[in-house]
Amino acid sequence: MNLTAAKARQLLKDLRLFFVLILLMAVLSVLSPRFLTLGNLSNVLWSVCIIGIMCSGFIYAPITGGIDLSVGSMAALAGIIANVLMNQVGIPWVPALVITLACGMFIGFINGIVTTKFGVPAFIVTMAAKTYLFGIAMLVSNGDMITIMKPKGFLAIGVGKLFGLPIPIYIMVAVIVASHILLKHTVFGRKAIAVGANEVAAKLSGVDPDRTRIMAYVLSATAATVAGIVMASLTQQAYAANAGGYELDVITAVVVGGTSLMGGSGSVAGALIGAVMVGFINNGLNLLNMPSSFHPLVTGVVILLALLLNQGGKMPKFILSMRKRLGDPGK
Amino acid sequence: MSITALRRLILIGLLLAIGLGLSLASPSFLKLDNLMTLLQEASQTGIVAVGFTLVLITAGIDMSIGAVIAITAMICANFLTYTHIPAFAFIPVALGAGCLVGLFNGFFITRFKLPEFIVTLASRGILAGLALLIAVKDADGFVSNVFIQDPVYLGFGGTVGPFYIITIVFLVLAVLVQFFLKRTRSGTNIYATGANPTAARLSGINTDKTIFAVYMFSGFCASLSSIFLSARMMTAMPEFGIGSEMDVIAAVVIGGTPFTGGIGDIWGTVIGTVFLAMIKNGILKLGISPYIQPIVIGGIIVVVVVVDVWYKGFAERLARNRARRRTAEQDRAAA
Repeated sequence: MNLTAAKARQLLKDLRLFFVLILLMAVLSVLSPRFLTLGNLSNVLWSVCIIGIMCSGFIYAPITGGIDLSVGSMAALAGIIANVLMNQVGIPWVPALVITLACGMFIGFINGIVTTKFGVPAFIVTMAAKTYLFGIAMLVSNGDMITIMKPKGFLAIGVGKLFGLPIPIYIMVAVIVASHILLKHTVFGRKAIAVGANEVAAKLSGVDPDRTRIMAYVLSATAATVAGIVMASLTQQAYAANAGGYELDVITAVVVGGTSLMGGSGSVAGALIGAVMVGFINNGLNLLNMPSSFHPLVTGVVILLALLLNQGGKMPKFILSMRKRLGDPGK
Repeated sequence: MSITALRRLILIGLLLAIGLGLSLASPSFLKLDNLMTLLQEASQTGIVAVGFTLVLITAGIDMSIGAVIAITAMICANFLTYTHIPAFAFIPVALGAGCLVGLFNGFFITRFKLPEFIVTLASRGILAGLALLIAVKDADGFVSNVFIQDPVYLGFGGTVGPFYIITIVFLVLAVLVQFFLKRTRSGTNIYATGANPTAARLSGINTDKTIFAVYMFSGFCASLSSIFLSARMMTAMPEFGIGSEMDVIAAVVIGGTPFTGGIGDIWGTVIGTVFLAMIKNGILKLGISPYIQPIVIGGIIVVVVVVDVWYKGFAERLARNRARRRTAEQDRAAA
């Protein structure tokens, strides 16, 4: 009985997000007649795919009580590595992508090791990783925007269609579903939540927190690599400066989706809705001819607002009363 | 000799070794001009790093400093372009803006108990956006370059004797803050807040006030360095300072202030900034690809932190062994 009640509450929470999303769509379609056109919505879809794929792995970092700020740089570097392997070294595209994925996993592994075994705050380690990965990407690509014209198989990942739908959508749905199952229905998912909620208790019940955390960073970097490959294939270019800003978008999506940055809770479905919302907001700003400067400004405000609404504890009265009126799923 | 003193000595030794290597590799390195430019670059990071060190001692972090530099530059640019208010009148306003950002950060951190890095990361995004928004635009709405001509303002980029003014300001600031940290009650409160906030609160320290103060000071320092930066460059761009927080973090980490809070001082930060400036200068002098700079800075942070943890463990093991040997000797003497 309790279980179903909890499930209903969780569903309500996810649905509440859904209502906000529909509200946002309604507002945007009133504000701009171009919003509800097929061409525009498919534009939104591309950015949602990239952010969604990143979120599917990224979410494990905050769930285990950490953060991964290197996802943007990792994605940019992945495109550049893949291009070098395919078009300069001349490896066929499938093994080239496998090597690229392995590189991503390795970098996630390093992030995890430095965070856990050396007790360095995750945001410092991953911020440093963001910096040096960007440097490596610049060094390898010589700072140029590289156009990728071949091989065909690689380009098909981004622009190809299957049963009338673009392939990136299948990839996003696949990784989101996999991530959801991993979080909710496997031992690893339970461990990740336990480590994030209470590390000492998790350790006492036989979970190895370090190993779980390292795995979380590997997952995060791997998802970022996949996103980077899809992005490179979609835009047919690899560019180091593509890196900037994605981490803020991904954090926004995850936080809006109800994942706590303090660890111990998270929702992949929520993050997906968050990703759609971020896509709509960015698209809306473009359609309304807002200067690009509005982008980080709005993202920053949305993060703070979402955190305030998620957060328990010391709250000013007006937020508490607002939460009561909206129906607090935490109670 | 204590562990920290030995670490500092090793750092100074490394600094001298790198300096020697660079002067052998590049003859122009030891020229007075180059050394003064190096110190000036170090001071640019250093002024921000002084404020950042205080934040780090309270076990916090301030990711918004780079964006504070940008917004301060844009505020000054607006005053210089659209008004005739003298520099000495609007510079306090610009410095106040930095403090205001600190106030904003402190409010969200103390009042809502949100993680420091996410609050300051969000305010970094907001400020970077605001900086572009208030940037001076031309008729077509594109950001235009501001050429600063105000002689008083440009005076901040000037020199006194061989030294740049910013270098002198940095050293004075470092001495003052070091004195403040070690010799005043408020300084002790900062250490106490970082070492154990609960204990600090129970012993009557207003930790919230302390946190407000350090974030405001951090914002102030970033604003101050921004004014020197735009004065030296004779222009102000909304990209100023964006990403410079990594330089500051690297300098402070090299200086030996850990992320755990409660430990650290300004001397380490001063050495760290000079160290970093020398490495950047060396990359330039040796004609290595400038793209290697972010790799070096990101790499340094990871390597220094890892070595520090190893070094601390090593020193503790050494001390334990020494203590054990001493008790064994005492036992033998007693027998």
